[in-house]
Amino acid sequence: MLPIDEVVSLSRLQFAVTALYHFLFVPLTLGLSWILVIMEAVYVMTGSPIYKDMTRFWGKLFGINFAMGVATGITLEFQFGTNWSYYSHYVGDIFGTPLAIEGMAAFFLESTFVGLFFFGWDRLSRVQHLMVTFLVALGSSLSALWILIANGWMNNPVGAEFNFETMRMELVSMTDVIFNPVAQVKFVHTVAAGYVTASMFVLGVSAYYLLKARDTQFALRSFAVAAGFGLASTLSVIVLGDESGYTAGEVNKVKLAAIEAEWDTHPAPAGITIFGMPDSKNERTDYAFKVPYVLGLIATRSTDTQVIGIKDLKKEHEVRIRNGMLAYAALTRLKSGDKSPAARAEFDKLKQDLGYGLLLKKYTPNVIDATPEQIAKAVDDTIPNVAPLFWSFRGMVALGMLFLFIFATSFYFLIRKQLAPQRWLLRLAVFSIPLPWIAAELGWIVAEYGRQPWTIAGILPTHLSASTLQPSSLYFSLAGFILFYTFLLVVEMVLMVKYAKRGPSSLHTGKYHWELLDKKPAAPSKTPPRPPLPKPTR
Amino acid sequence: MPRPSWLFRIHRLSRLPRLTQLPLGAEIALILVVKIAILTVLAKTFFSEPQAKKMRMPTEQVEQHLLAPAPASAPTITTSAVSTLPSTSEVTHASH
Repeated sequence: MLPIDEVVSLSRLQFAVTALYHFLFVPLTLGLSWILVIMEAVYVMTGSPIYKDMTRFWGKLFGINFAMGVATGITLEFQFGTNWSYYSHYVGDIFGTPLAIEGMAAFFLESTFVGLFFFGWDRLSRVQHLMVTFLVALGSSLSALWILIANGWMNNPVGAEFNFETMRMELVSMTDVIFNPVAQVKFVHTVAAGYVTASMFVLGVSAYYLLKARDTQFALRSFAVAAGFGLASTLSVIVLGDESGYTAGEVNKVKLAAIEAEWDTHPAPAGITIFGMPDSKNERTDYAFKVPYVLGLIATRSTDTQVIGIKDLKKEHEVRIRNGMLAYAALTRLKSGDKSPAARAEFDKLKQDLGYGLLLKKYTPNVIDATPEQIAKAVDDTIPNVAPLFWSFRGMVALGMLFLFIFATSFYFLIRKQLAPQRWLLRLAVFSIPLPWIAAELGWIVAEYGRQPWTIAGILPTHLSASTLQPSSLYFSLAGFILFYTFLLVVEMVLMVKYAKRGPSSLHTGKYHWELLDKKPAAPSKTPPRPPLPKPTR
Repeated sequence: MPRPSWLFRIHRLSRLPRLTQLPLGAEIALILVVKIAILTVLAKTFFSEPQAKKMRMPTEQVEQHLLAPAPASAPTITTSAVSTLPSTSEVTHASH
């Protein structure tokens, strides 16, 4: 491996590791904040103290996750300027506004109101406190919105144009950037996935209390909120995931073809491959089990539009690479001093394919005279590795279906008042607690790995985005990040398990299981020793 | 009175309250302090000299990175040399 390849691979690995770790904390914050709003709204409407206890207890777990997760995303911003300097230069004019607004939303709105949420119970009226909780949830979602607008732009760079004078993309229309269809779909799909994660967390922990037959009224109500909210959220994720597939079919045909291992263009409407073994070398899928029409309907919303296969997309890309070589030559001419209107017009005509020409820089410093072999290699690069995308996507969808089953079944037995005998369902809910995180991470792998070989789709190749660094520096910083995030994750797990096991007894209201157990006279009992009671906090 | 041995000191330390027995607020505050310290150390050690300050680099450096050294006379591109992108139907037709 050449040193430059090693630097790019290590920079990618570091960004992937930190982003995936960061997203272990985010979805619970996104979802649990709205579950708190629902619980507290019921408390305000009914005045029933159990809903206040529910808000305070789940709020305590929310607080642990928020504290562990806050600022874990800042490491990604460290990497922009140091590891991805050329990328940063290219996107700086576009990302400045969304990232600044995200910072404002996260620190001034979200963090301020999280403080008020915990310290405001005795200082604010019920309605005022509910408003604070609502603003916490809104702040969390707004933070996600601006980050996902930036991420959506990387997948579909609208509202910006390349300026050859500054050698970067410059903002033309903020409205187009904000209302970018990829960003909008990505936002709603991501936050809905966060709602599912939090619902499964509350459902699973509540199911644990029900299995242990303690604090059952508290657990049943929590379970009901989680089942209802989780069912609605899972249906939203599925519908929005379908919308995401349609958007990908519109603007990101390569990603769609790679996810579906569609090597050839089939007559419309295309069938979907449920199972198969993608073979990138021979460009085919072995043992493919297909369901007719479904992919065409999802990806094109029509019965007569084809889903373009990878082989045909490669032919399109070869044309774009050859145009990109001409764009590169035109840019070189402009940069060498010929800024005549004719030279500018020539570049303007070709510049949409400049990025494709830059793909050749991996194989030759002289893009203009690239050989057919070098062009063929660059064409191959335009297709991301199919197998990881194929399997990640199917893993995510399969888990989504499992969540739908769990929430729908839970909801059904709950309204039939037959939940208690369904111990299999309660156990399934407990064991499913980590699964939404796995689904979310698989989703991010599909989204980001599927964008390769680009950092900005069609504009800037990944191999030209990374800085010139020493691999040793990247190895050490990568190790540092892994240790840092693992430490946070372990602490989060320890605290979550500790307080989840204690349950609402950790609120010190004197009404719940472990405290009632303490009040009973000591007698020989087979009850296992209780875990140590955490000291009261505010 | 003889000074306590190091074994005795360790034994005495082990009788102090464990970190996990602190109130939640104290635990979180402690973790946040540790977290900020680690982030600061990582930032100062590995990310203190970003090549793109404020998401901007010298234009000449970007040119050098992205473009080959400019030839003495840059080639002239004629409009007729521009390949045209085949339409989806053309590509589809060709594939069959």
